[in-house]
Amino acid sequence: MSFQILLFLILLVLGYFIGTYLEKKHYRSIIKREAELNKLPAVASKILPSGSESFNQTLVMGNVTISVDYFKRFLATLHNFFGGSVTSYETLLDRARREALLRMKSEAEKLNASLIMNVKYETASIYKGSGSGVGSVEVLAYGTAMIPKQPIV
Amino acid sequence: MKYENPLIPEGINTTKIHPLKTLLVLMTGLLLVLIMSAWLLGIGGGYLASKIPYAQEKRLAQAYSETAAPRTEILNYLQALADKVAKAMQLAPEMKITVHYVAENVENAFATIGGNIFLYKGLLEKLPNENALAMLIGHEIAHVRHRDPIVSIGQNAAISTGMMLLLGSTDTGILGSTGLLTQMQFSREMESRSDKTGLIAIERLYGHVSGALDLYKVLDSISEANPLDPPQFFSTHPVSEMRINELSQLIKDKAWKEGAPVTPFPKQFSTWLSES
Repeated sequence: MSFQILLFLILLVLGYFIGTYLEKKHYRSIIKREAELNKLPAVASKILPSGSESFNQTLVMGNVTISVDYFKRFLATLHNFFGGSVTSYETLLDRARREALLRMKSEAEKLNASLIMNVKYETASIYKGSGSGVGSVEVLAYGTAMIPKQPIV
Repeated sequence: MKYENPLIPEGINTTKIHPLKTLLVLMTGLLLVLIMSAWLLGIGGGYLASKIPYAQEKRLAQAYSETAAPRTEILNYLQALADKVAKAMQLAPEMKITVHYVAENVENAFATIGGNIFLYKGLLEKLPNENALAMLIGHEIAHVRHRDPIVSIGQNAAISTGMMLLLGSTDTGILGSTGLLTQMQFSREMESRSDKTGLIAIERLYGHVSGALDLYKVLDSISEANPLDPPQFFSTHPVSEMRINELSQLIKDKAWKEGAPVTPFPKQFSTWLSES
């Protein structure tokens, strides 16, 4: 019994420090890449702009799976007991959405796209049924990249 | 048409409260819930257990009848003294007291279900006279009379069952483990009440109370010698002084005699102890 409690505390402390470190590192990377890719707008609009005949259209997507650390999962268990917003999962979902969008944008950038239209998100938890095992979230961002046609010389 | 993505400020979709603060608040709440439910379960379980008929309690305690020791002289003496004290306490006839003498150098004595009383050699060696021993036995018989052992088991069983359901832990036996039967905890109220009932019986038996409080002096010196591991009798630390004061007050109120000569142990008592 005391061994289990000790193991739990070690996992909790490890989860907290490692999880916080990785999260900060990830956020630094996200903010840096968001500034770089800001020149490529991604919008939710479905209506093609005028002059769209001069664009090729192709599907682009970015997909990410992020797991939650032991500390956050424990905190979420407590939230589940008392109710209220599960604040410990907020950064997890925020990071996953932004990372998926960034991956989509960098794919579009490789294709020399100038705009991504009709952007959508799909979110899935990939731990359903495994009880209190892993807690991971998958976010898929997809949209239509507008690639300017090369002028025919 | 011009499209652009503005730079969205940080921290819109995430909480600003530090996770450790959230943890502290939620853990405090959870602990309060657990303590409250344990308290309520304890009260409920103790109440229900006090309604268990004594015959049923004796059936639960059958494990002790097998360990009955051979009739040594020391056991005969202790049993005879216990019977006298029980008679003075006007114990119900179905509550038969069975004394168990344990020849171990442990300074301990306790009562458990089915009227079984365990006295350890280590404690008996330290007692100065028969009155102190009678007070010790009286206190333990009073526990039996108040049904404290079964109530304590009922409380523990209710709490461990409740916690098992709530926390999903599986390593808690309800009544199976003998550890629960012998390591029961009596509350401060139970101890104080048994002190008084015991002392009243001693006064009735000897016609005075001299020597009875010697027991508490002995126990006090033992718990001072082992502050980390006080005898079970004084497990409700640190109220030993308070308990002595309560008894002194009772003696004063009833104007009981204190100066009368104490009854010594039988001559062979120390021989019996050293031989066992």
